[in-house]
Amino acid sequence: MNVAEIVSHVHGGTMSAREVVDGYLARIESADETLGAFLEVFDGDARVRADELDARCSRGEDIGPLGGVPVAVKDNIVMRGRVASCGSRMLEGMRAAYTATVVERLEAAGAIVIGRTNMDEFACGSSTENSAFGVTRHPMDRDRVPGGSSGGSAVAVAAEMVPLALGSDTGGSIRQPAALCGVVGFKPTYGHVSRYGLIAMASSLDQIGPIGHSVADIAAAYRIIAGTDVRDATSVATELSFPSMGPMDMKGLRVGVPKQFFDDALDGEIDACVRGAIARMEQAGANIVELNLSWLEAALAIYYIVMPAEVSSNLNRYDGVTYGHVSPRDTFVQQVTATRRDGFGDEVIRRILLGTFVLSSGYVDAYYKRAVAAQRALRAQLDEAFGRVDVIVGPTSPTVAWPIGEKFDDPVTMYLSDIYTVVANLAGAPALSLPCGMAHGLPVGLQVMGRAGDDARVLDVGYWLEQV
Amino acid sequence: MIDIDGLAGLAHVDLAPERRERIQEDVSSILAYVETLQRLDVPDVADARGALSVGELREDAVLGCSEQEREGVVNSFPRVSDDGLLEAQAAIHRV
Repeated sequence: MNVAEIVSHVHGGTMSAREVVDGYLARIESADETLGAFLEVFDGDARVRADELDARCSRGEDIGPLGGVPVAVKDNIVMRGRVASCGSRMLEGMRAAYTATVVERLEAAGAIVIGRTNMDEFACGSSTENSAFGVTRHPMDRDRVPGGSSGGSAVAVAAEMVPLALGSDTGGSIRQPAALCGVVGFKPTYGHVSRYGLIAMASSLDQIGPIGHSVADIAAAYRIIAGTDVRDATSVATELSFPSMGPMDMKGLRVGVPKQFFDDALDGEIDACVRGAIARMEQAGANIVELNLSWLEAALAIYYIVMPAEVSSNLNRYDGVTYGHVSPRDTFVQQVTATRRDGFGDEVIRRILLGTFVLSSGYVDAYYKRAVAAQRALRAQLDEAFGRVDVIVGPTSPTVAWPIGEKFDDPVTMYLSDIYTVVANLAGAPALSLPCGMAHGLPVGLQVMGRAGDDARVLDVGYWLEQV
Repeated sequence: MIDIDGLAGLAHVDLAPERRERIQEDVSSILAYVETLQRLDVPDVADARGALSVGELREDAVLGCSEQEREGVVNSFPRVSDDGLLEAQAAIHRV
Protein backbone atom coordinates (compact mmCIF):
# COMPACT_ATOMS: atom_id res chain seq x y z
CA MET A 1 0.00 0.00 0.00
CA ASN A 2 1.17 3.50 -0.67
CA VAL A 3 0.87 6.35 1.82
CA ALA A 4 -2.29 7.80 0.28
CA GLU A 5 -4.01 4.39 0.36
CA ILE A 6 -3.13 3.86 4.02
CA VAL A 7 -4.40 7.32 4.95
CA SER A 8 -7.55 6.79 2.92
CA HIS A 9 -8.26 3.40 4.55
CA VAL A 10 -7.65 4.62 8.08
CA HIS A 11 -9.59 7.87 7.66
CA GLY A 12 -12.39 6.09 5.83
CA GLY A 13 -12.67 3.29 8.34
CA THR A 14 -12.04 0.47 5.85
CA MET A 15 -8.92 -0.49 7.78
CA SER A 16 -7.80 0.47 11.25
CA ALA A 17 -4.39 1.93 12.06
CA ARG A 18 -3.92 -1.14 14.26
CA GLU A 19 -4.47 -3.45 11.27
CA VAL A 20 -1.97 -1.44 9.23
CA VAL A 21 0.64 -1.59 11.99
CA ASP A 22 0.04 -5.30 12.66
CA GLY A 23 0.50 -6.03 8.95
CA TYR A 24 3.85 -4.26 8.76
CA LEU A 25 5.04 -5.74 12.07
CA ALA A 26 4.25 -9.22 10.73
CA ARG A 27 6.29 -8.45 7.62
CA ILE A 28 9.22 -7.26 9.77
CA GLU A 29 8.95 -10.43 11.85
CA SER A 30 9.17 -12.65 8.78
CA ALA A 31 11.65 -10.71 6.64
CA ASP A 32 14.08 -8.80 8.82
CA GLU A 33 15.93 -11.72 10.33
CA THR A 34 17.83 -12.20 7.05
CA LEU A 35 17.92 -8.51 6.07
CA GLY A 36 19.01 -6.74 9.25
CA ALA A 37 17.32 -3.46 8.42
CA PHE A 38 16.05 -2.74 11.94
CA LEU A 39 18.12 -2.25 15.07
CA GLU A 40 15.00 -2.05 17.20
CA VAL A 41 11.28 -2.47 16.53
CA PHE A 42 8.88 -0.54 18.75
CA ASP A 43 6.11 -3.10 18.35
CA GLY A 44 4.36 -2.47 21.65
CA ASP A 45 4.45 1.31 21.47
CA ALA A 46 3.46 1.28 17.79
CA ARG A 47 0.36 -0.80 18.59
CA VAL A 48 -0.58 1.48 21.50
CA ARG A 49 -0.19 4.52 19.28
CA ALA A 50 -2.25 2.88 16.52
CA ASP A 51 -5.04 2.16 19.01
CA GLU A 52 -4.98 5.78 20.15
CA LEU A 53 -5.29 6.98 16.57
CA ASP A 54 -8.15 4.55 15.92
CA ALA A 55 -9.95 5.80 19.03
CA ARG A 56 -9.55 9.40 17.88
CA CYS A 57 -10.73 8.45 14.42
CA SER A 58 -13.83 6.75 15.80
CA ARG A 59 -14.65 9.96 17.70
CA GLY A 60 -14.56 11.79 14.37
CA GLU A 61 -11.30 13.61 15.08
CA ASP A 62 -8.86 14.49 12.32
CA ILE A 63 -5.78 12.33 12.90
CA GLY A 64 -3.64 14.19 10.42
CA PRO A 65 -2.41 13.91 6.83
CA LEU A 66 -0.22 10.89 7.67
CA GLY A 67 -2.74 9.35 10.06
CA GLY A 68 -1.88 5.68 10.59
CA VAL A 69 1.23 5.61 8.37
CA PRO A 70 4.09 3.57 9.90
CA VAL A 71 7.52 5.21 9.58
CA ALA A 72 11.01 3.86 10.26
CA VAL A 73 13.69 6.23 11.53
CA LYS A 74 17.43 6.07 10.92
CA ASP A 75 19.46 5.44 14.07
CA ASN A 76 21.06 8.90 14.01
CA ILE A 77 17.76 10.78 14.52
CA VAL A 78 16.89 11.10 18.19
CA MET A 79 13.62 10.26 19.90
CA ARG A 80 13.18 11.05 23.59
CA GLY A 81 13.75 8.04 25.83
CA ARG A 82 14.85 5.82 22.94
CA VAL A 83 18.33 4.64 22.06
CA ALA A 84 20.05 6.53 19.23
CA SER A 85 23.33 4.69 18.71
CA CYS A 86 24.34 6.00 15.28
CA GLY A 87 25.36 2.43 14.49
CA SER A 88 28.29 2.84 16.89
CA ARG A 89 29.61 1.18 20.04
CA MET A 90 30.40 4.73 21.17
CA LEU A 91 26.68 5.45 21.68
CA GLU A 92 25.45 1.92 22.35
CA GLY A 93 22.53 2.14 24.77
CA MET A 94 22.60 5.96 24.78
CA ARG A 95 19.05 7.23 25.28
CA ALA A 96 18.02 10.57 23.85
CA ALA A 97 16.82 13.38 26.09
CA TYR A 98 14.68 15.02 23.41
CA THR A 99 12.98 14.33 20.08
CA ALA A 100 14.11 15.53 16.67
CA THR A 101 11.90 18.12 14.99
CA VAL A 102 11.26 15.82 12.01
CA VAL A 103 9.90 13.08 14.27
CA GLU A 104 7.77 15.54 16.25
CA ARG A 105 6.28 16.80 12.99
CA LEU A 106 5.63 13.31 11.60
CA GLU A 107 3.94 12.22 14.82
CA ALA A 108 1.87 15.40 14.94
CA ALA A 109 0.72 14.49 11.41
CA GLY A 110 -0.46 11.08 12.61
CA ALA A 111 2.52 8.91 11.58
CA ILE A 112 3.48 5.93 13.75
CA VAL A 113 7.20 5.41 14.40
CA ILE A 114 7.69 1.67 14.13
CA GLY A 115 11.43 1.27 14.73
CA ARG A 116 14.97 2.52 14.20
CA THR A 117 17.07 1.38 11.28
CA ASN A 118 20.64 0.26 10.80
CA MET A 119 23.26 2.52 9.27
CA ASP A 120 26.97 2.89 8.68
CA GLU A 121 28.57 4.09 11.90
CA PHE A 122 28.03 7.85 12.31
CA ALA A 123 26.80 7.77 8.67
CA CYS A 124 30.37 7.10 7.51
CA GLY A 125 29.98 4.63 4.67
CA SER A 126 28.22 3.74 1.43
CA SER A 127 27.23 0.12 2.07
CA THR A 128 25.82 -0.31 5.62
CA GLU A 129 28.68 -2.72 6.29
CA ASN A 130 30.22 -0.32 8.81
CA SER A 131 27.58 -0.64 11.53
CA ALA A 132 28.80 -1.94 14.89
CA PHE A 133 25.58 -3.97 15.02
CA GLY A 134 25.87 -6.01 11.85
CA VAL A 135 25.54 -5.76 8.09
CA THR A 136 22.24 -4.90 6.38
CA ARG A 137 21.58 -7.00 3.28
CA HIS A 138 20.08 -6.22 -0.11
CA PRO A 139 16.40 -7.20 -0.36
CA MET A 140 16.81 -8.87 -3.79
CA ASP A 141 20.12 -10.61 -3.12
CA ARG A 142 21.17 -11.28 0.47
CA ASP A 143 24.84 -11.52 -0.59
CA ARG A 144 24.92 -7.92 -1.77
CA VAL A 145 25.02 -4.57 0.03
CA PRO A 146 21.98 -2.26 0.01
CA GLY A 147 24.14 0.87 -0.26
CA GLY A 148 24.46 3.33 2.57
CA SER A 149 24.68 4.94 4.90
CA SER A 150 20.85 4.87 5.22
CA GLY A 151 20.82 1.21 4.11
CA GLY A 152 18.48 0.09 6.89
CA SER A 153 15.86 2.68 5.94
CA ALA A 154 16.10 1.86 2.22
CA VAL A 155 15.79 -1.89 2.84
CA ALA A 156 12.90 -1.40 5.27
CA VAL A 157 10.97 0.34 2.49
CA ALA A 158 12.12 -1.89 -0.39
CA ALA A 159 11.20 -5.08 1.48
CA GLU A 160 7.73 -3.67 2.33
CA MET A 161 8.49 -3.65 6.04
CA VAL A 162 7.38 -0.02 6.20
CA PRO A 163 5.87 2.36 3.64
CA LEU A 164 8.05 5.30 4.56
CA ALA A 165 11.38 5.90 6.29
CA LEU A 166 13.66 8.75 7.26
CA GLY A 167 17.31 8.80 6.29
CA SER A 168 20.08 11.35 6.34
CA ASP A 169 22.20 12.39 3.37
CA THR A 170 25.66 13.96 3.70
CA GLY A 171 27.07 12.83 0.35
CA GLY A 172 24.36 10.57 -1.06
CA SER A 173 23.34 8.48 1.94
CA ILE A 174 19.62 8.66 1.12
CA ARG A 175 19.81 8.61 -2.70
CA GLN A 176 22.47 5.95 -3.24
CA PRO A 177 20.83 3.20 -1.10
CA ALA A 178 17.44 4.18 -2.56
CA ALA A 179 18.91 3.68 -6.05
CA LEU A 180 20.55 0.37 -5.21
CA CYS A 181 17.36 -0.97 -3.58
CA GLY A 182 14.91 0.26 -6.23
CA VAL A 183 13.01 2.82 -4.15
CA VAL A 184 12.73 6.63 -4.11
CA GLY A 185 14.94 8.83 -1.93
CA PHE A 186 15.02 12.60 -1.60
CA LYS A 187 17.62 14.98 -0.21
CA PRO A 188 15.91 18.35 0.21
CA THR A 189 17.62 21.73 -0.11
CA TYR A 190 20.01 22.34 2.78
CA GLY A 191 18.04 24.20 5.45
CA HIS A 192 14.58 23.14 4.24
CA VAL A 193 14.31 20.32 6.78
CA SER A 194 15.40 20.87 10.37
CA ARG A 195 18.54 19.05 11.51
CA TYR A 196 17.57 19.51 15.16
CA GLY A 197 17.96 16.04 16.63
CA LEU A 198 20.12 14.68 13.83
CA ILE A 199 23.42 13.48 15.30
CA ALA A 200 25.97 15.51 13.35
CA MET A 201 28.42 14.02 10.89
CA ALA A 202 29.38 16.96 8.63
CA SER A 203 27.10 19.82 9.62
CA SER A 204 27.36 21.92 6.46
CA LEU A 205 26.38 18.93 4.30
CA ASP A 206 24.00 16.82 6.45
CA GLN A 207 20.32 16.80 5.53
CA ILE A 208 17.39 14.64 6.66
CA GLY A 209 15.05 13.34 3.97
CA PRO A 210 12.43 10.67 3.20
CA ILE A 211 12.68 7.27 1.49
CA GLY A 212 9.53 5.72 0.03
CA HIS A 213 8.01 3.69 -2.79
CA SER A 214 6.93 6.60 -4.93
CA VAL A 215 7.52 10.29 -5.49
CA ALA A 216 3.99 10.95 -4.20
CA ASP A 217 4.84 9.22 -0.92
CA ILE A 218 8.09 11.19 -0.67
CA ALA A 219 6.26 14.44 -1.33
CA ALA A 220 3.67 13.62 1.35
CA ALA A 221 6.46 13.21 3.91
CA TYR A 222 8.39 16.25 2.67
CA ARG A 223 5.32 18.48 3.12
CA ILE A 224 5.25 17.51 6.78
CA ILE A 225 8.94 17.60 7.72
CA ALA A 226 9.97 20.72 5.76
CA GLY A 227 9.78 24.20 7.18
CA THR A 228 11.65 26.59 9.38
CA ASP A 229 12.76 25.61 12.89
CA VAL A 230 14.37 28.05 15.31
CA ARG A 231 16.22 25.16 16.95
CA ASP A 232 18.32 24.63 13.78
CA ALA A 233 20.50 27.68 13.18
CA THR A 234 20.78 26.87 9.46
CA SER A 235 17.06 26.38 8.91
CA VAL A 236 15.77 28.66 6.14
CA ALA A 237 13.09 31.16 7.08
CA THR A 238 11.64 31.68 3.59
CA GLU A 239 8.27 30.28 2.56
CA LEU A 240 8.68 26.93 0.85
CA SER A 241 6.89 25.71 -2.25
CA PHE A 242 5.56 22.20 -2.56
CA PRO A 243 5.03 19.96 -5.59
CA SER A 244 1.70 20.06 -7.40
CA MET A 245 1.86 16.31 -8.15
CA GLY A 246 -0.48 16.84 -11.06
CA PRO A 247 -0.09 16.40 -14.83
CA MET A 248 3.06 18.19 -15.96
CA ASP A 249 3.85 19.54 -19.39
CA MET A 250 7.38 18.57 -20.33
CA LYS A 251 7.35 20.98 -23.27
CA GLY A 252 9.97 23.62 -22.76
CA LEU A 253 11.47 22.09 -19.62
CA ARG A 254 15.22 22.57 -19.88
CA VAL A 255 17.00 19.40 -18.79
CA GLY A 256 20.75 19.63 -18.24
CA VAL A 257 22.88 16.54 -18.84
CA PRO A 258 26.48 17.05 -17.68
CA LYS A 259 28.98 14.97 -19.60
CA GLN A 260 30.87 14.47 -16.31
CA PHE A 261 27.97 12.27 -15.08
CA PHE A 262 28.58 9.86 -17.97
CA ASP A 263 32.26 9.16 -17.41
CA ASP A 264 34.34 5.98 -17.64
CA ALA A 265 33.26 4.96 -14.13
CA LEU A 266 29.64 4.50 -15.24
CA ASP A 267 28.43 0.97 -15.89
CA GLY A 268 27.26 0.50 -19.51
CA GLU A 269 23.84 -0.94 -18.66
CA ILE A 270 23.17 1.88 -16.16
CA ASP A 271 24.20 4.38 -18.83
CA ALA A 272 21.58 2.87 -21.17
CA CYS A 273 18.80 3.02 -18.53
CA VAL A 274 19.51 6.66 -17.69
CA ARG A 275 19.77 7.71 -21.34
CA GLY A 276 16.45 5.94 -21.93
CA ALA A 277 14.80 8.13 -19.28
CA ILE A 278 16.35 11.26 -20.80
CA ALA A 279 15.08 10.20 -24.25
CA ARG A 280 11.54 9.88 -22.85
CA MET A 281 11.77 13.44 -21.54
CA GLU A 282 12.98 14.66 -24.91
CA GLN A 283 10.18 12.81 -26.71
CA ALA A 284 7.68 14.56 -24.45
CA GLY A 285 9.03 17.96 -25.49
CA ALA A 286 11.80 18.70 -22.99
CA ASN A 287 14.87 20.54 -24.27
CA ILE A 288 17.93 18.46 -23.52
CA VAL A 289 20.96 20.66 -22.89
CA GLU A 290 24.39 19.02 -22.79
CA LEU A 291 26.52 20.57 -20.07
CA ASN A 292 30.26 20.62 -19.52
CA LEU A 293 30.72 21.35 -15.80
CA SER A 294 34.43 20.89 -15.20
CA TRP A 295 34.21 21.33 -11.42
CA LEU A 296 32.09 18.18 -11.15
CA GLU A 297 35.30 16.24 -11.85
CA ALA A 298 36.72 17.64 -8.61
CA ALA A 299 33.56 17.14 -6.53
CA LEU A 300 34.54 13.87 -4.87
CA ALA A 301 38.01 15.17 -3.96
CA ILE A 302 36.47 18.35 -2.51
CA TYR A 303 33.97 16.25 -0.58
CA TYR A 304 36.64 13.96 0.87
CA ILE A 305 38.40 16.99 2.33
CA VAL A 306 35.46 19.10 3.55
CA MET A 307 33.46 16.16 4.95
CA PRO A 308 36.26 14.53 7.05
CA ALA A 309 37.32 17.96 8.32
CA GLU A 310 33.82 18.39 9.76
CA VAL A 311 33.67 14.76 10.93
CA SER A 312 36.90 15.15 12.90
CA SER A 313 35.55 18.32 14.49
CA ASN A 314 32.05 17.00 15.26
CA LEU A 315 33.24 13.65 16.60
CA ASN A 316 35.76 15.32 18.89
CA ARG A 317 32.96 15.45 21.49
CA TYR A 318 33.09 11.67 21.93
CA ASP A 319 35.79 11.60 24.58
CA GLY A 320 34.29 9.33 27.23
CA VAL A 321 33.55 12.29 29.49
CA THR A 322 30.38 13.84 28.17
CA TYR A 323 28.84 11.11 25.99
CA GLY A 324 28.50 7.39 25.69
CA HIS A 325 31.16 4.70 25.88
CA VAL A 326 34.13 5.07 28.23
CA SER A 327 37.24 2.87 28.53
CA PRO A 328 38.49 3.73 32.04
CA ARG A 329 42.25 4.42 32.34
CA ASP A 330 44.52 6.03 34.90
CA THR A 331 45.02 9.37 33.21
CA PHE A 332 42.72 11.63 31.25
CA VAL A 333 44.70 11.38 28.01
CA GLN A 334 44.93 7.60 28.25
CA GLN A 335 41.20 7.41 28.91
CA VAL A 336 40.22 9.62 25.98
CA THR A 337 42.48 7.86 23.47
CA ALA A 338 41.43 4.38 24.65
CA THR A 339 37.73 5.36 24.64
CA ARG A 340 37.97 6.56 21.05
CA ARG A 341 39.97 3.51 19.99
CA ASP A 342 37.41 1.11 21.47
CA GLY A 343 34.31 3.12 20.59
CA PHE A 344 34.94 3.90 16.92
CA GLY A 345 35.18 1.52 13.95
CA ASP A 346 37.84 1.71 11.24
CA GLU A 347 35.96 3.92 8.76
CA VAL A 348 35.20 6.53 11.41
CA ILE A 349 38.86 6.46 12.53
CA ARG A 350 40.01 6.91 8.91
CA ARG A 351 37.81 9.97 8.48
CA ILE A 352 38.82 11.49 11.82
CA LEU A 353 42.51 11.10 10.94
CA LEU A 354 41.96 12.44 7.44
CA GLY A 355 40.07 15.44 8.80
CA THR A 356 42.72 16.06 11.44
CA PHE A 357 45.37 16.00 8.70
CA VAL A 358 43.62 18.46 6.35
CA LEU A 359 43.01 20.89 9.23
CA SER A 360 46.47 20.58 10.77
CA SER A 361 48.99 23.39 10.80
CA GLY A 362 51.07 23.32 7.63
CA TYR A 363 48.35 21.54 5.59
CA VAL A 364 45.18 23.54 6.17
CA ASP A 365 45.94 25.99 3.33
CA ALA A 366 46.87 23.31 0.82
CA TYR A 367 43.94 21.03 1.65
CA TYR A 368 40.98 22.48 3.55
CA LYS A 369 41.11 26.09 2.36
CA ARG A 370 41.78 24.93 -1.17
CA ALA A 371 38.81 22.55 -1.01
CA VAL A 372 36.52 25.31 0.29
CA ALA A 373 37.63 27.55 -2.57
CA ALA A 374 36.98 24.75 -5.05
CA GLN A 375 33.55 24.12 -3.46
CA ARG A 376 32.67 27.77 -4.02
CA ALA A 377 33.83 27.52 -7.64
CA LEU A 378 31.67 24.40 -8.10
CA ARG A 379 28.66 26.18 -6.62
CA ALA A 380 29.23 29.16 -8.90
CA GLN A 381 29.45 26.90 -11.94
CA LEU A 382 26.21 25.14 -10.96
CA ASP A 383 24.49 28.50 -10.36
CA GLU A 384 25.50 29.54 -13.86
CA ALA A 385 24.24 26.22 -15.28
CA PHE A 386 20.89 26.64 -13.53
CA GLY A 387 20.49 29.88 -15.44
CA ARG A 388 20.35 27.73 -18.59
CA VAL A 389 18.54 24.63 -17.33
CA ASP A 390 15.69 23.85 -14.93
CA VAL A 391 16.95 20.49 -13.67
CA ILE A 392 20.09 18.39 -14.05
CA VAL A 393 19.71 14.65 -14.54
CA GLY A 394 22.09 11.70 -14.52
CA PRO A 395 22.73 8.39 -12.80
CA THR A 396 22.56 8.21 -9.02
CA SER A 397 25.29 5.59 -8.71
CA PRO A 398 27.95 4.36 -11.17
CA THR A 399 27.23 0.71 -10.29
CA VAL A 400 24.42 -1.51 -9.09
CA ALA A 401 24.56 -3.14 -5.64
CA TRP A 402 27.84 -5.00 -5.21
CA PRO A 403 28.69 -8.17 -3.27
CA ILE A 404 29.17 -7.76 0.48
CA GLY A 405 32.86 -7.33 1.25
CA GLU A 406 33.91 -6.46 -2.32
CA LYS A 407 34.86 -2.84 -1.58
CA PHE A 408 35.13 -3.05 2.19
CA ASP A 409 38.94 -3.05 2.31
CA ASP A 410 39.39 -0.45 -0.42
CA PRO A 411 38.05 2.89 0.84
CA VAL A 412 38.79 4.90 -2.31
CA THR A 413 36.85 2.43 -4.48
CA MET A 414 34.01 2.57 -1.95
CA TYR A 415 34.03 6.37 -2.02
CA LEU A 416 33.68 6.37 -5.81
CA SER A 417 30.14 5.03 -5.41
CA ASP A 418 29.16 8.54 -4.23
CA ILE A 419 30.78 10.33 -7.18
CA TYR A 420 27.47 11.63 -8.65
CA THR A 421 25.64 12.31 -5.40
CA VAL A 422 28.13 14.45 -3.45
CA VAL A 423 27.56 17.35 -5.88
CA ALA A 424 24.10 18.16 -4.46
CA ASN A 425 25.45 18.25 -0.89
CA LEU A 426 28.36 20.51 -1.83
CA ALA A 427 25.87 22.83 -3.57
CA GLY A 428 23.16 22.60 -0.86
CA ALA A 429 20.80 21.61 -3.68
CA PRO A 430 17.75 19.31 -3.70
CA ALA A 431 18.21 15.94 -5.41
CA LEU A 432 15.93 12.97 -5.93
CA SER A 433 16.75 9.39 -6.87
CA LEU A 434 14.01 7.29 -8.44
CA PRO A 435 14.08 3.87 -10.13
CA CYS A 436 14.66 3.92 -13.89
CA GLY A 437 15.13 0.28 -14.87
CA MET A 438 17.32 -2.71 -14.13
CA ALA A 439 20.95 -3.49 -14.94
CA HIS A 440 22.52 -6.90 -14.32
CA GLY A 441 19.19 -7.89 -12.75
CA LEU A 442 19.40 -5.14 -10.11
CA PRO A 443 17.74 -1.71 -9.72
CA VAL A 444 19.14 1.45 -11.29
CA GLY A 445 18.51 4.96 -9.95
CA LEU A 446 18.03 8.17 -11.91
CA GLN A 447 19.06 11.37 -10.15
CA VAL A 448 17.15 14.64 -10.66
CA MET A 449 18.85 17.68 -9.16
CA GLY A 450 17.55 21.25 -8.97
CA ARG A 451 18.85 24.61 -7.90
CA ALA A 452 18.78 25.27 -4.15
CA GLY A 453 15.17 26.03 -3.18
CA ASP A 454 13.66 24.32 -6.22
CA ASP A 455 12.54 21.18 -4.37
CA ALA A 456 9.00 21.41 -5.73
CA ARG A 457 10.18 21.30 -9.34
CA VAL A 458 12.53 18.38 -8.66
CA LEU A 459 9.66 16.38 -7.15
CA ASP A 460 7.26 17.33 -9.96
CA VAL A 461 9.77 16.18 -12.60
CA GLY A 462 10.31 12.98 -10.64
CA TYR A 463 6.56 12.43 -10.48
CA TRP A 464 6.31 12.86 -14.26
CA LEU A 465 9.16 10.40 -14.83
CA GLU A 466 7.46 7.87 -12.58
CA GLN A 467 4.27 8.01 -14.63
CA VAL A 468 5.83 7.37 -18.08
CA MET B 1 53.82 8.07 4.03
CA ILE B 2 52.10 10.32 6.54
CA ASP B 3 53.11 10.47 10.20
CA ILE B 4 50.23 8.33 11.41
CA ASP B 5 51.32 8.35 15.06
CA GLY B 6 51.55 12.14 15.14
CA LEU B 7 48.13 12.37 13.54
CA ALA B 8 46.62 9.85 15.95
CA GLY B 9 47.99 11.94 18.83
CA LEU B 10 46.36 15.09 17.45
CA ALA B 11 43.07 13.24 17.00
CA HIS B 12 43.24 11.67 20.48
CA VAL B 13 42.97 8.16 19.10
CA ASP B 14 45.06 5.26 20.34
CA LEU B 15 45.66 3.13 17.24
CA ALA B 16 45.88 -0.53 18.13
CA PRO B 17 48.93 -2.20 16.48
CA GLU B 18 46.76 -4.48 14.34
CA ARG B 19 44.95 -1.42 12.93
CA ARG B 20 47.87 0.97 12.59
CA GLU B 21 49.50 -0.19 9.36
CA ARG B 22 46.24 -0.74 7.49
CA ILE B 23 44.84 2.65 8.47
CA GLN B 24 48.10 4.37 7.55
CA GLU B 25 47.90 2.82 4.07
CA ASP B 26 44.21 3.73 3.71
CA VAL B 27 44.66 7.35 4.77
CA SER B 28 47.66 7.69 2.43
CA SER B 29 45.66 6.30 -0.51
CA ILE B 30 42.74 8.68 0.20
CA LEU B 31 45.13 11.64 0.40
CA ALA B 32 46.66 10.55 -2.92
CA TYR B 33 43.16 10.63 -4.43
CA VAL B 34 42.31 14.11 -3.12
CA GLU B 35 45.71 15.34 -4.38
CA THR B 36 43.91 15.90 -7.70
CA LEU B 37 42.80 19.23 -6.26
CA GLN B 38 46.41 20.38 -6.12
CA ARG B 39 46.58 20.30 -9.91
CA LEU B 40 43.56 22.57 -10.40
CA ASP B 41 43.60 26.32 -10.67
CA VAL B 42 41.68 27.23 -7.52
CA PRO B 43 40.94 30.85 -6.59
CA ASP B 44 42.38 32.06 -3.28
CA VAL B 45 40.06 32.26 -0.29
CA ALA B 46 40.46 34.79 2.46
CA ASP B 47 38.82 32.65 5.11
CA ALA B 48 38.01 29.02 5.75
CA ARG B 49 34.47 29.25 7.04
CA GLY B 50 33.20 26.79 4.50
CA ALA B 51 30.92 27.53 1.60
CA LEU B 52 28.02 28.53 3.86
CA SER B 53 27.75 32.28 4.17
CA VAL B 54 27.26 33.66 7.66
CA GLY B 55 24.14 35.50 6.47
CA GLU B 56 22.36 32.17 6.23
CA LEU B 57 22.56 31.60 9.97
CA ARG B 58 19.98 32.85 12.43
CA GLU B 59 21.00 34.97 15.39
CA ASP B 60 22.99 33.00 17.94
CA ALA B 61 20.58 33.19 20.85
CA VAL B 62 19.78 31.03 23.87
CA LEU B 63 16.37 29.44 23.27
CA GLY B 64 15.96 27.37 26.40
CA CYS B 65 14.23 24.01 26.46
CA SER B 66 11.24 22.28 27.97
CA GLU B 67 11.37 20.93 31.51
CA GLN B 68 10.96 17.46 30.01
CA GLU B 69 14.08 17.93 27.86
CA ARG B 70 16.03 19.35 30.78
CA GLU B 71 15.10 16.35 32.90
CA GLY B 72 16.17 13.99 30.13
CA VAL B 73 19.60 15.59 29.90
CA VAL B 74 20.09 15.73 33.66
CA ASN B 75 19.05 12.11 34.07
CA SER B 76 21.61 10.99 31.49
CA PHE B 77 24.45 11.94 33.87
CA PRO B 78 25.93 9.12 35.96
CA ARG B 79 24.86 10.82 39.20
CA VAL B 80 23.02 13.92 40.34
CA SER B 81 23.72 15.20 43.85
CA ASP B 82 20.99 16.33 46.23
CA ASP B 83 21.89 19.97 45.62
CA GLY B 84 21.64 19.53 41.83
CA LEU B 85 25.30 19.08 40.90
CA LEU B 86 25.91 16.78 37.92
CA GLU B 87 28.64 14.16 38.05
CA ALA B 88 30.44 13.36 34.80
CA GLN B 89 33.10 10.73 34.13
CA ALA B 90 36.33 11.51 35.95
CA ALA B 91 38.64 13.62 33.84
CA ILE B 92 41.59 13.84 36.25
CA HIS B 93 44.74 11.88 36.90
CA ARG B 94 43.79 8.97 39.16
CA VAL B 95 47.31 7.98 40.32
